Amino acid sequence: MNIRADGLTLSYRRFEVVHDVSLSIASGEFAAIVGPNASGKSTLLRGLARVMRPDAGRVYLGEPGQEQDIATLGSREVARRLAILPQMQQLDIDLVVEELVWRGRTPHHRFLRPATPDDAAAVERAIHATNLEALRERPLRALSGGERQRAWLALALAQEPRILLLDEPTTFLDLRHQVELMDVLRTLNQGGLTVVAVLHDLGLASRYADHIIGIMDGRIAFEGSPSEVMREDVLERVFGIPMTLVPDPRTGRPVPLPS
Amino acid sequence: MTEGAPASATMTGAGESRPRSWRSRRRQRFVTWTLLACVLLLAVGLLSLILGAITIAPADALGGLIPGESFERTVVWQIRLPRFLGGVLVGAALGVSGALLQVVTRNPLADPTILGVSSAAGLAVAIALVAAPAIGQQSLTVVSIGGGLVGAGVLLALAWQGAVTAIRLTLAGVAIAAFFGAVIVGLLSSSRTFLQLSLGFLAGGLYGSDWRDAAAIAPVVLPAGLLAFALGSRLNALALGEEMAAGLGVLTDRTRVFVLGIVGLLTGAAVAIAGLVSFVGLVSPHVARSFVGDDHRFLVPASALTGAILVTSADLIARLVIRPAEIPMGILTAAVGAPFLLYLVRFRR
Repeated sequence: MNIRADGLTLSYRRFEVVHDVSLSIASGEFAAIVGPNASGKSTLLRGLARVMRPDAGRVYLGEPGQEQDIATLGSREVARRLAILPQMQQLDIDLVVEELVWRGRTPHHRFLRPATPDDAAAVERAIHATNLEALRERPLRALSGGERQRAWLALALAQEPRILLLDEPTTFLDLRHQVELMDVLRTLNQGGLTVVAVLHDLGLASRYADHIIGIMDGRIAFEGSPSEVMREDVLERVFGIPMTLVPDPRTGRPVPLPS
Repeated sequence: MTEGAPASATMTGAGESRPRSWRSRRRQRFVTWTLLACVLLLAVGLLSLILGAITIAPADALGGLIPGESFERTVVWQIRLPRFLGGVLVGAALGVSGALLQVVTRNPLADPTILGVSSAAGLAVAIALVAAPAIGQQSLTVVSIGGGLVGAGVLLALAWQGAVTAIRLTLAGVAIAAFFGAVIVGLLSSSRTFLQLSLGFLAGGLYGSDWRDAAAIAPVVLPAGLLAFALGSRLNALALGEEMAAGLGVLTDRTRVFVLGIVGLLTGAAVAIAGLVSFVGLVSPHVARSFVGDDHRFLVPASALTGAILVTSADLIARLVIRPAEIPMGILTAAVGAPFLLYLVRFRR
């Protein structure tokens, strides 16, 4: 499923954060949104997900050729097409993993109707995709950071979205859990899910994404495939420090290092 | 709406042979707690019919459930039974209000008293009592609910901009509660209505509560409570955080308006007959949560039952400690609630 923004302008209390951004992410892409702190990445993601109402501009969502303006769709309809995983939350809530994942079925529920086998099957697939089978009965409070993040990811997957938006899914995770999570996302992406992730780690972005969007001061600073946009001068301009690019010996993709 | 609405949603098909232990555990704990709470409530109810300024034999107390001519029957039917039922309604209304406020403000310390909704309803009642001392219970209920809705509206206006944190909301609520409370005391003490009546009102109590009281609030409390229960699934989404709930297709602003409206109705109804009963809305959801967990389809009814038990037992004790006189019931809920609040502050989060 495609997602496309056209002249998107977003602000908090009249403080404009994202200015007139247009972008297009095609069905099946793995896109990464990168940029310095406070550049408007998360806000852009919230605008794309319709969690935030734009001041101007539109977001279109749909299969190629039949995109619809997201503002004209019902909120539950949007939630069945697109899921958003906000920044990792410290939520003290007394739930077990599977119970949390079930809440992802909210947009599919009909008022006062019991759960259906479809619901159960979607929850099962989400738990399987995130390797949480062994932890399904575990209280959230008893999980490590990486496990907890996978549980929240499973909740988003239980929505059965065609597009998944993630806001810094790997922040606060150790290296192994970062890679595990990104591998899960890559597998999902290869299964046809369109993935759009805000990432802080340029190395991860370069390694996993096939479409990188750089944001600076609420505008698109660069956009393209990793090999197109990972250039020392571009990165230095956006991130404000000199960078050196080293090719990953295994994939050949450029890995930026602060120099 | 779903994932296993208490009993009906057994999974069929899709190869569901594995035992679903978390679900059965939740359900089992809810059923156990509900049964236990019902037994407790019935026991308190029976004691409420037996004990009071005079003690009535259990057999006569039960006989009083059928209206009759004898003195005992009159006491039970005209005084004690409606007072007990009034207590059940007040407790359930406050318990549910607390549960709703705690989820929409995402603050474990939220409660209609702390956030000033009770004081707003109380102020409306005080104004009505001073302006028209002979006002009927039904009109008073309407006035009180109006006040409760205004209080909820003020709270909403403060929370509306999104950037209001739970802490700021709580501080604002405390300020509203203190301000309205001061106006109430000022009004009542500067008028001739300042009698034992207004003391009972300020501290919260069911003194002299009769069938008219219970009948006045039941048509509000029951449907509002059912609505709150029906919102369970949305509340569950909201409990995951603003952004997550919006991502799940829940219209968070609309839900919040709706929920605060229900809180205004319930709190207004409770204040109309019991005055400013504190801490029931705070304590009940926490007690209920420790039994049934964080699923609002269970938590809302469990909070209602817990609140009902708290209020009716406080009322029972309130009329026994200095028999044949009474102390205001709200003193007892505060005496239990305040230490519990301290416990929460000290040991949770």
